[in-house]
Amino acid sequence: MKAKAWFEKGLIYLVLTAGGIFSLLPLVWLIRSSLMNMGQIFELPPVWIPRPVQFSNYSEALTILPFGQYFVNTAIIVVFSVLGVIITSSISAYSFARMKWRGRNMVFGLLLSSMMLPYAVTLIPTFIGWSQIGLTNSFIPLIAPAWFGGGAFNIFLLRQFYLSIPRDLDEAAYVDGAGHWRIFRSIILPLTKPALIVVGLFSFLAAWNDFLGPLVYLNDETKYTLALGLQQFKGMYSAEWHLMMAAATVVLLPAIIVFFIGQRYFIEGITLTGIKA
Amino acid sequence: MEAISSHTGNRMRKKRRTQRELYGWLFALPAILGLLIFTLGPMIYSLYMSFTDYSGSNSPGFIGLDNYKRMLGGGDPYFYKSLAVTFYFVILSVPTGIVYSFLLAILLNQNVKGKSIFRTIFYLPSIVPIIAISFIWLWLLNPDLGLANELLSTLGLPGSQWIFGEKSVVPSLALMNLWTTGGTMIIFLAGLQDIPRSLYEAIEMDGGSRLAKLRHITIPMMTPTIFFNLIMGIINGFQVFSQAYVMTNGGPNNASLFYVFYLYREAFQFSRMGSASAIAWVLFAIIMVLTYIVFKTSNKWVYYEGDGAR
Amino acid sequence: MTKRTGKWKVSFIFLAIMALFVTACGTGGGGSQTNAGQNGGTDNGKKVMLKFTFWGSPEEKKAVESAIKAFEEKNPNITIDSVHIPGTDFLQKLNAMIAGNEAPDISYSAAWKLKMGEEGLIYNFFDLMKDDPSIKKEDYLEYAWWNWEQDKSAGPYQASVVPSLMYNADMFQEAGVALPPTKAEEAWTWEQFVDAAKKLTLDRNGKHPDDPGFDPKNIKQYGVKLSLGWSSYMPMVLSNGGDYLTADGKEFRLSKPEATEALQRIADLINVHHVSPSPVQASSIPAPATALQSKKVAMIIDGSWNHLDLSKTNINWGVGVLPVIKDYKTFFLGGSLIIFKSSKHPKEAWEFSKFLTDPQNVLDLHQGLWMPQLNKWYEDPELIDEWANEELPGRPAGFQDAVMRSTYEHAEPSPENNVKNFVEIDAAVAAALDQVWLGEKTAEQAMKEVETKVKPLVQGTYLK
Repeated sequence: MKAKAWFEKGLIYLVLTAGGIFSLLPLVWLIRSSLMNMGQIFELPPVWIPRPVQFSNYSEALTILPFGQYFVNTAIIVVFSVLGVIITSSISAYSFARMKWRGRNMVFGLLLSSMMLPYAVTLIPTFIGWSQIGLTNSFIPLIAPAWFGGGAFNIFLLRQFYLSIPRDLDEAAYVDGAGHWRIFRSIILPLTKPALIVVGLFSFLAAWNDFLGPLVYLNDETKYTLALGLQQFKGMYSAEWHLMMAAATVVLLPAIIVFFIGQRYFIEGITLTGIKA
Repeated sequence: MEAISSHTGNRMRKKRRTQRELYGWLFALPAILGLLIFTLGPMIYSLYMSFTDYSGSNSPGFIGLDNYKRMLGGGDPYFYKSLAVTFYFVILSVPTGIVYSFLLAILLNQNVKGKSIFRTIFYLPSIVPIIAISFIWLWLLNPDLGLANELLSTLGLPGSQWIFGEKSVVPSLALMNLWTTGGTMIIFLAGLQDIPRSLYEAIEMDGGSRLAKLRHITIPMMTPTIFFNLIMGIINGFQVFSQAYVMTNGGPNNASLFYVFYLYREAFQFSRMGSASAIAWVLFAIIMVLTYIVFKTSNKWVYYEGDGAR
Repeated sequence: MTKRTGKWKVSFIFLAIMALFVTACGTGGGGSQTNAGQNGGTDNGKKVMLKFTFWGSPEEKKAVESAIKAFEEKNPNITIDSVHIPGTDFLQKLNAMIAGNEAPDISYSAAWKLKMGEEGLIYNFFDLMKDDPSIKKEDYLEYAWWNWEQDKSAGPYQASVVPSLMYNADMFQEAGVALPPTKAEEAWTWEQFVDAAKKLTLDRNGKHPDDPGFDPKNIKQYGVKLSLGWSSYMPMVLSNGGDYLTADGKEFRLSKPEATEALQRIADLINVHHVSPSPVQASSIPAPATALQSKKVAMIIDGSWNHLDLSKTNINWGVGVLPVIKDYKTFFLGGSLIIFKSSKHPKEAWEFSKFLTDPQNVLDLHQGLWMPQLNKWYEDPELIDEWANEELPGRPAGFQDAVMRSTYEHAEPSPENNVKNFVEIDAAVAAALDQVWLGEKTAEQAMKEVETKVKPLVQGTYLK
């Protein structure tokens, strides 16, 4: 019996470790390749440790293309998107969670079903719309949607949080004569700070990782984001894997850093998504 | 007196109600506008576009159902191909993704040490930008120098052409998809933690095995979560784009001509916006039908706690 | 209370709009500047801003940018807002710009321009030429024109390039193989070519393809790499008497025996002789110049635009004539500069187009990257000396024979600017050829299969 339990435990750890290796190996391989020189990267059988460690790949990759400019562009888009999402999704979510108005459930239902709508369906008409008002090739089409509710997903997420706050609190405030805005600001918002952080983190990643959006809307090289810069890099330096891997690492790094800083919130946030299911 | 006060009370209540209505709308305004501007409006617009020959630079002329006829009637050699490719990908990637992440979640939910470390590690890949993911896997799957074939050959197995083989390209991308299922795993894990201990205890009393617990409690209790992940998986599967754009350019021989990539090419390379809108609407219809089917069948297998409560 | 709420709401909306506005200004800087420039009018002395879109390798980018500087010095009233777009994304981006009413004034262009011509998006070069006696049609190479109708043209090549065989001479020496011939009359036969390539191919253990125990899975050094696009296989197809379409332009001809035989020979280099990388193996081979430099490949058949990158490496490289199957055939390749009808400054754009098209003005580019498209530059020894002198760093030994004369004397129209609807036909053909290069199908099978797909796309020819 004991042997069996040991065996089971062992098996569990074995599978988990295998899964862990599967998750980490590609990233290890990325870093390893980014620090090698071209001769070594083509060596067969492959070696694991770069020798010598060639940090210059990074400086070379970063100087070939104006990655600094791309970084600034990406940062502008990310900052304004995240702001927009946080502000407008929290206000809207409050309305769906705490206020009663005619058509609320219908609107919320519509909003939820829009989550299932493939973005490809609205991609072309939205592009045409922006182009007709002459705003393509600017950051606005990439930022503006964040200022209009910030996406159904975030509203849904925040609404879940709001619903978990006992109603007694705002009812008491309401009796005291507080309006909705004050209840929202002084009761709900402070209590749901973690939720806002979750939303902020998710929208950071969404904006940082976006590829199709910038691809469709940004034409001018000087307006490119990091993701587009990376794609451009591939066109110019195909098969110079050491440089490509260094460039990819640079694009990946901020996402990883943000993830480790906000790790707890990430897990919490995703957990909440699943609850409704 | 009484009558009057009830009358004013009525008016007061009415006023309060309209006010409440107004504020409700006002607070929800960003979302409502967003829905109109970025979802409903564009959908209607694209429906209209799909009946025109708009190229992006001409003034759109109405051509009736021509776009649909050309597409569905075989006039466009790529439509059915891209549909087949995308279905193939969904059929491969969604079940494997769910099984894999469910398995990991169940294992993590046992009494294991280092749970949070494992959880972090499994989740980590899903925050990597898709373009970087594509780069990494392009390199891993390189048939000559990539790690994948090297590992296979150390194990004495034959290597694969991976994304360069017509037959292996979609499975390769499904494998890559598996790498990023950390989010799904965490949703499963949360679901598992919500299953009341008492249910398991009952089975334990009857001397049920682990397998029995899994079959009779865990899986039935998890069906809502599985259902959720299934739907999200299908929707995401149909939206695959960047992999095709960055890694394969739809090749070899159109074997990875994913639907959205095909749509993008139609719109921005061949500048046929009208036709691309029709393609988008067909995608919409397909997803609607699939979701409907999944929903319809869901009451046969999805178990809701305290049925009807919601 | 309600009042306060209202205020908040208002100030919030205000804030949101402000935020958007700030971003718009912060990011739209480049764009609005362009507009300001364009609204400035065309009067002399006033600044005119032309938006110019182009592609090219990092070296080409630098060279084009310095040509732009020279132009701006000569024309102080014109500023060029140059937008470099990677070649693979070029058409998509340009289409997006056109749809967004942000079309450039003037742009590099490939075969897709002909469709733009038919749609009336760009100027007819022949119309623009009428007002400018300095440009005469007969001065240009016979096939260096992009016409979408008999009398409607998207212009001549702004410069030419050609399919070229480039090699690393040190590798030939190490293998004891004679260098590729440079005169068309002495061109390698296919058998000689395969033979040389075999001697230049080595596996991990230093064995050649015909040696016993050769390991085709682990080839360390390839004899030859072809780009596997139409510009590399079409010279061979032509050489074997085949062509893209039949002479009347009505039928697909790549499926005919002369063509499929040539295509099969190229595929055999990969799958039978093992002297050339498949598309799979090619993915781990760097760009041509780096590939020759790192000795991954001994010979490359690809566009001559690689000469520029090669001249920046310090290797002992050279050029030879392409191998032949029957006759020596090749063609000039080139883009043209298209001027958009939406341009507010077609005159200035025309000037810029003329500037970039005149080899004299962009001699730097013609000494390593481009080749002229005017007949006299191939005939007048003095002019030849200016761009094709083999002492120039960008012009290797053998250049005049192997690249300049062989092409000038044996040029056919390139399918790209001759075959109507080439972009879509080529997309279908290229997908089918993938299978041939991978050895999954014979050239005959694949071309027969794709014929049905191509049939509705064939619409005739432009030039010949």
